[in-house]
Amino acid sequence: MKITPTLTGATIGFLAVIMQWLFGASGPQAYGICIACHTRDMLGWIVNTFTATSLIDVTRIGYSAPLLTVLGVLLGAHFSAIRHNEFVPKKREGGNIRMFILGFLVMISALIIAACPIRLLIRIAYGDLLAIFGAMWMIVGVIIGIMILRRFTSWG
Amino acid sequence: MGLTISIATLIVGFVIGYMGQRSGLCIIGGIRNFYLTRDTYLLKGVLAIIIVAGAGFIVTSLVGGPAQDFPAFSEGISEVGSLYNACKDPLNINNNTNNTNILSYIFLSLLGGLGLGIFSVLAIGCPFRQHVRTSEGDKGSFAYIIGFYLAALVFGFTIKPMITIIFGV
Repeated sequence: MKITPTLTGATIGFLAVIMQWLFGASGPQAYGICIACHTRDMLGWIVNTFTATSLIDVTRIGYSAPLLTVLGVLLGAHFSAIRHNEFVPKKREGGNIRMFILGFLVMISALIIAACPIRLLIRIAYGDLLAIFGAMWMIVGVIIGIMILRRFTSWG
Repeated sequence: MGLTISIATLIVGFVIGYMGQRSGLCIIGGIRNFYLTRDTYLLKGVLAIIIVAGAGFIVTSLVGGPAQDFPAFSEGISEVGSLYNACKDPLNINNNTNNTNILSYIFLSLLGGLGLGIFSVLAIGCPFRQHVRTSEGDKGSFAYIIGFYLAALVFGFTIKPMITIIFGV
Protein backbone atom coordinates (compact mmCIF):
# COMPACT_ATOMS: atom_id res chain seq x y z
CA MET A 1 0.00 0.00 0.00
CA LYS A 2 1.32 3.41 -0.94
CA ILE A 3 1.70 5.75 2.05
CA THR A 4 0.24 9.08 0.92
CA PRO A 5 0.23 12.40 2.81
CA THR A 6 -3.51 11.94 3.32
CA LEU A 7 -2.99 8.58 5.05
CA THR A 8 -0.14 10.02 7.11
CA GLY A 9 -2.27 12.97 8.19
CA ALA A 10 -5.17 10.69 9.11
CA THR A 11 -2.78 8.53 11.17
CA ILE A 12 -1.40 11.60 12.95
CA GLY A 13 -4.94 12.73 13.78
CA PHE A 14 -5.93 9.26 15.02
CA LEU A 15 -2.78 8.79 17.13
CA ALA A 16 -3.21 12.28 18.62
CA VAL A 17 -6.62 11.24 19.92
CA ILE A 18 -5.24 7.92 21.25
CA MET A 19 -2.37 9.72 23.02
CA GLN A 20 -4.83 12.26 24.47
CA TRP A 21 -6.79 9.32 25.88
CA LEU A 22 -3.59 7.78 27.28
CA PHE A 23 -2.44 11.05 28.86
CA GLY A 24 -5.86 11.38 30.48
CA ALA A 25 -6.48 14.17 32.95
CA SER A 26 -2.79 14.82 33.60
CA GLY A 27 -2.13 16.02 30.06
CA PRO A 28 -2.99 19.45 28.67
CA GLN A 29 -5.84 19.50 26.16
CA ALA A 30 -5.07 18.66 22.53
CA TYR A 31 -1.56 17.58 23.43
CA GLY A 32 -1.33 14.13 21.82
CA ILE A 33 1.32 14.99 19.24
CA CYS A 34 3.44 18.14 19.17
CA ILE A 35 6.93 18.43 17.78
CA ALA A 36 7.81 21.68 19.61
CA CYS A 37 6.11 21.17 22.99
CA HIS A 38 7.17 17.53 23.37
CA THR A 39 10.75 18.56 22.55
CA ARG A 40 10.58 21.25 25.22
CA ASP A 41 9.17 18.72 27.71
CA MET A 42 11.84 16.13 26.87
CA LEU A 43 14.77 18.56 27.17
CA GLY A 44 13.21 20.17 30.24
CA TRP A 45 12.82 16.75 31.86
CA ILE A 46 16.49 15.97 31.19
CA VAL A 47 17.69 19.32 32.57
CA ASN A 48 15.37 19.16 35.59
CA THR A 49 16.25 15.55 36.38
CA PHE A 50 19.99 15.85 36.11
CA THR A 51 20.20 19.14 37.99
CA ALA A 52 17.53 18.02 40.48
CA THR A 53 15.69 21.34 40.02
CA SER A 54 12.70 22.68 38.14
CA LEU A 55 14.62 25.19 36.04
CA ILE A 56 12.61 24.58 32.87
CA ASP A 57 8.81 24.80 32.97
CA VAL A 58 7.31 21.65 31.47
CA THR A 59 3.76 20.32 31.33
CA ARG A 60 2.51 18.06 34.10
CA ILE A 61 2.69 15.01 31.83
CA GLY A 62 6.21 15.96 30.73
CA TYR A 63 7.21 16.39 34.36
CA SER A 64 6.47 12.77 35.23
CA ALA A 65 8.19 11.19 32.21
CA PRO A 66 10.19 12.29 29.18
CA LEU A 67 8.04 12.55 26.03
CA LEU A 68 10.13 10.86 23.34
CA THR A 69 8.02 11.78 20.28
CA VAL A 70 10.79 13.61 18.42
CA LEU A 71 13.27 10.82 19.14
CA GLY A 72 10.73 8.39 17.68
CA VAL A 73 10.30 10.57 14.58
CA LEU A 74 14.08 10.64 14.04
CA LEU A 75 14.39 6.86 14.51
CA GLY A 76 11.31 6.01 12.41
CA ALA A 77 12.31 8.25 9.52
CA HIS A 78 15.89 6.97 9.67
CA PHE A 79 14.70 3.35 9.67
CA SER A 80 12.51 4.09 6.66
CA ALA A 81 15.27 5.99 4.84
CA ILE A 82 17.76 3.14 5.35
CA ARG A 83 15.20 0.50 4.37
CA HIS A 84 14.32 2.25 1.13
CA ASN A 85 17.88 3.30 0.27
CA GLU A 86 16.99 6.98 0.63
CA PHE A 87 19.62 7.84 3.23
CA VAL A 88 21.91 10.25 1.35
CA PRO A 89 24.24 12.43 3.46
CA LYS A 90 24.11 15.81 1.76
CA LYS A 91 25.14 19.34 2.47
CA ARG A 92 23.32 22.56 1.58
CA GLU A 93 25.74 25.18 0.32
CA GLY A 94 26.50 27.67 3.07
CA GLY A 95 23.16 26.99 4.67
CA ASN A 96 24.02 25.52 8.05
CA ILE A 97 24.19 28.78 10.03
CA ARG A 98 21.07 30.06 8.28
CA MET A 99 19.20 26.83 9.10
CA PHE A 100 20.43 26.98 12.72
CA ILE A 101 19.03 30.51 13.13
CA LEU A 102 15.76 29.60 11.39
CA GLY A 103 15.33 26.54 13.62
CA PHE A 104 15.91 28.75 16.65
CA LEU A 105 13.32 31.30 15.49
CA VAL A 106 10.73 28.66 14.59
CA MET A 107 10.97 27.11 18.07
CA ILE A 108 10.61 30.52 19.75
CA SER A 109 7.53 31.25 17.61
CA ALA A 110 6.11 27.79 18.31
CA LEU A 111 6.48 28.20 22.07
CA ILE A 112 4.92 31.69 21.93
CA ILE A 113 1.80 30.29 20.23
CA ALA A 114 2.15 27.04 22.27
CA ALA A 115 1.90 24.81 19.21
CA CYS A 116 3.97 23.48 16.35
CA PRO A 117 2.07 23.39 13.02
CA ILE A 118 0.86 19.85 13.81
CA ARG A 119 -0.47 20.72 17.27
CA LEU A 120 -2.03 23.86 15.81
CA LEU A 121 -4.14 21.60 13.58
CA ILE A 122 -4.98 19.31 16.51
CA ARG A 123 -6.01 22.35 18.55
CA ILE A 124 -8.27 23.45 15.67
CA ALA A 125 -9.84 19.98 15.72
CA TYR A 126 -10.32 20.49 19.47
CA GLY A 127 -12.33 23.63 18.79
CA ASP A 128 -9.75 26.13 20.02
CA LEU A 129 -10.60 29.60 18.67
CA LEU A 130 -7.10 30.91 19.39
CA ALA A 131 -5.66 28.11 17.23
CA ILE A 132 -7.96 29.03 14.33
CA PHE A 133 -6.87 32.66 14.71
CA GLY A 134 -3.19 31.63 14.93
CA ALA A 135 -3.48 29.35 11.89
CA MET A 136 -4.92 32.24 9.85
CA TRP A 137 -1.85 34.29 10.72
CA MET A 138 0.39 31.31 10.00
CA ILE A 139 -1.05 31.24 6.45
CA VAL A 140 -0.40 35.00 6.17
CA GLY A 141 3.16 34.31 7.41
CA VAL A 142 3.62 31.64 4.73
CA ILE A 143 2.58 34.13 2.03
CA ILE A 144 4.92 36.81 3.46
CA GLY A 145 7.72 34.21 3.61
CA ILE A 146 7.19 33.29 -0.05
CA MET A 147 7.47 36.99 -0.99
CA ILE A 148 10.70 37.29 1.03
CA LEU A 149 12.04 34.15 -0.66
CA ARG A 150 11.29 35.57 -4.12
CA ARG A 151 12.51 39.13 -3.59
CA PHE A 152 15.49 38.97 -1.26
CA THR A 153 17.00 35.50 -1.28
CA SER A 154 18.64 33.11 -3.67
CA TRP A 155 18.05 29.76 -1.95
CA GLY A 156 14.30 29.30 -2.66
CA MET B 1 2.67 5.15 34.23
CA GLY B 2 5.67 7.29 33.43
CA LEU B 3 7.43 4.55 31.49
CA THR B 4 4.23 3.72 29.59
CA ILE B 5 3.93 7.33 28.46
CA SER B 6 7.57 7.44 27.32
CA ILE B 7 7.30 4.20 25.34
CA ALA B 8 3.95 5.21 23.84
CA THR B 9 5.29 8.56 22.63
CA LEU B 10 8.37 6.80 21.24
CA ILE B 11 6.18 4.34 19.27
CA VAL B 12 3.86 7.09 18.03
CA GLY B 13 6.89 9.12 16.94
CA PHE B 14 8.36 6.09 15.17
CA VAL B 15 5.14 5.43 13.24
CA ILE B 16 4.59 9.04 12.12
CA GLY B 17 8.31 9.42 11.37
CA TYR B 18 8.22 6.32 9.16
CA MET B 19 5.06 7.47 7.36
CA GLY B 20 6.38 11.04 7.14
CA GLN B 21 9.50 9.79 5.39
CA ARG B 22 7.44 7.73 2.90
CA SER B 23 4.91 10.45 2.14
CA GLY B 24 6.88 13.68 2.57
CA LEU B 25 4.04 15.23 4.60
CA CYS B 26 4.73 18.85 5.50
CA ILE B 27 2.15 21.24 6.98
CA ILE B 28 3.87 24.41 5.78
CA GLY B 29 4.70 22.76 2.44
CA GLY B 30 1.03 21.89 1.95
CA ILE B 31 -0.08 25.49 2.45
CA ARG B 32 2.83 26.81 0.33
CA ASN B 33 2.24 24.45 -2.60
CA PHE B 34 -1.47 25.23 -2.62
CA TYR B 35 -0.75 28.98 -2.64
CA LEU B 36 1.87 28.70 -5.40
CA THR B 37 0.41 26.10 -7.77
CA ARG B 38 -3.00 25.06 -6.33
CA ASP B 39 -1.43 21.63 -5.74
CA THR B 40 -3.48 19.79 -3.11
CA TYR B 41 -1.28 16.68 -2.71
CA LEU B 42 0.21 17.74 0.67
CA LEU B 43 -2.76 19.93 1.65
CA LYS B 44 -4.97 16.81 1.82
CA GLY B 45 -2.73 15.55 4.62
CA VAL B 46 -3.19 18.83 6.50
CA LEU B 47 -6.99 18.58 6.20
CA ALA B 48 -6.89 14.87 7.14
CA ILE B 49 -5.26 15.73 10.49
CA ILE B 50 -8.05 18.20 11.34
CA ILE B 51 -10.90 15.96 10.14
CA VAL B 52 -9.70 12.69 11.75
CA ALA B 53 -8.61 14.32 15.02
CA GLY B 54 -11.89 16.28 15.17
CA ALA B 55 -13.94 13.11 14.56
CA GLY B 56 -11.84 11.27 17.15
CA PHE B 57 -12.36 13.95 19.80
CA ILE B 58 -16.12 13.95 19.12
CA VAL B 59 -16.21 10.16 19.55
CA THR B 60 -14.14 10.16 22.75
CA SER B 61 -16.26 12.96 24.25
CA LEU B 62 -19.46 11.04 23.36
CA VAL B 63 -18.27 7.86 25.07
CA GLY B 64 -17.15 9.90 28.07
CA GLY B 65 -13.48 9.78 27.30
CA PRO B 66 -10.80 12.08 28.63
CA ALA B 67 -11.41 14.93 26.16
CA GLN B 68 -11.83 17.55 28.89
CA ASP B 69 -13.94 20.59 28.08
CA PHE B 70 -14.44 19.56 24.47
CA PRO B 71 -15.07 21.48 22.28
CA ALA B 72 -12.90 24.20 23.71
CA PHE B 73 -15.03 27.11 22.45
CA SER B 74 -18.11 25.86 24.29
CA GLU B 75 -16.40 26.84 27.54
CA GLY B 76 -16.14 30.47 26.49
CA ILE B 77 -13.19 32.64 25.74
CA SER B 78 -11.48 32.28 29.15
CA GLU B 79 -11.34 28.51 28.75
CA VAL B 80 -9.72 28.95 25.34
CA GLY B 81 -7.16 31.15 27.07
CA SER B 82 -6.46 28.44 29.61
CA LEU B 83 -5.98 25.95 26.78
CA TYR B 84 -3.16 28.20 25.66
CA ASN B 85 -1.96 28.44 29.24
CA ALA B 86 -1.90 24.65 29.67
CA CYS B 87 1.36 24.69 27.77
CA LYS B 88 2.66 27.96 29.14
CA ASP B 89 1.89 27.50 32.81
CA PRO B 90 1.65 23.73 32.77
CA LEU B 91 2.11 22.92 36.42
CA ASN B 92 -0.93 25.12 37.01
CA ILE B 93 0.90 27.18 39.64
CA ASN B 94 -1.37 30.17 39.04
CA ASN B 95 -4.40 27.85 38.94
CA ASN B 96 -5.30 29.37 35.56
CA THR B 97 -8.80 30.34 36.62
CA ASN B 98 -8.73 34.10 36.99
CA ASN B 99 -6.59 34.54 33.92
CA THR B 100 -8.82 36.03 31.27
CA ASN B 101 -6.41 38.41 29.63
CA ILE B 102 -7.71 37.47 26.20
CA LEU B 103 -6.14 40.38 24.30
CA SER B 104 -2.69 39.15 25.33
CA TYR B 105 -3.52 35.65 24.12
CA ILE B 106 -4.76 37.01 20.81
CA PHE B 107 -1.63 39.10 20.33
CA LEU B 108 0.68 36.19 21.24
CA SER B 109 -1.19 33.87 18.85
CA LEU B 110 -0.78 36.45 16.10
CA LEU B 111 2.93 36.84 16.82
CA GLY B 112 3.61 33.11 17.08
CA GLY B 113 1.51 32.27 14.02
CA LEU B 114 3.23 34.86 11.84
CA GLY B 115 6.66 33.69 13.06
CA LEU B 116 5.80 30.04 12.44
CA GLY B 117 4.69 30.81 8.88
CA ILE B 118 7.51 33.12 7.83
CA PHE B 119 10.46 31.24 9.35
CA SER B 120 9.16 27.79 8.39
CA VAL B 121 8.79 28.85 4.74
CA LEU B 122 12.31 30.34 4.77
CA ALA B 123 13.62 27.05 6.20
CA ILE B 124 11.55 25.20 3.52
CA GLY B 125 9.60 22.88 5.78
CA CYS B 126 7.76 22.59 9.08
CA PRO B 127 9.58 21.20 12.17
CA PHE B 128 8.24 17.68 11.52
CA ARG B 129 9.59 17.71 7.97
CA GLN B 130 12.97 18.99 9.19
CA HIS B 131 13.26 16.05 11.60
CA VAL B 132 12.47 13.63 8.77
CA ARG B 133 15.00 15.31 6.49
CA THR B 134 17.66 15.13 9.21
CA SER B 135 17.07 11.37 9.34
CA GLU B 136 17.56 11.26 5.57
CA GLY B 137 21.03 12.74 6.02
CA ASP B 138 20.42 16.44 5.34
CA LYS B 139 23.06 18.42 7.25
CA GLY B 140 21.19 21.72 6.87
CA SER B 141 18.16 20.23 8.61
CA PHE B 142 20.47 18.85 11.31
CA ALA B 143 21.69 22.41 11.96
CA TYR B 144 18.02 23.45 12.04
CA ILE B 145 17.05 20.98 14.78
CA ILE B 146 20.12 21.88 16.86
CA GLY B 147 18.90 25.50 16.82
CA PHE B 148 15.37 24.20 17.46
CA TYR B 149 16.45 22.30 20.59
CA LEU B 150 18.64 25.14 21.88
CA ALA B 151 15.74 27.57 21.56
CA ALA B 152 13.54 25.29 23.71
CA LEU B 153 15.98 25.76 26.59
CA VAL B 154 16.68 29.46 25.93
CA PHE B 155 12.95 30.21 25.80
CA GLY B 156 12.38 28.91 29.34
CA PHE B 157 15.13 31.07 30.81
CA THR B 158 14.69 34.35 28.94
CA ILE B 159 11.64 34.88 26.75
CA LYS B 160 8.97 33.21 28.91
CA PRO B 161 9.74 35.48 31.94
CA MET B 162 9.71 38.48 29.57
CA ILE B 163 6.26 37.50 28.22
CA THR B 164 5.00 37.10 31.77
CA ILE B 165 6.23 40.57 32.70
CA ILE B 166 4.98 42.33 29.56
CA PHE B 167 1.63 40.57 29.05
CA GLY B 168 0.91 39.26 32.52
CA VAL B 169 -0.04 35.80 31.23
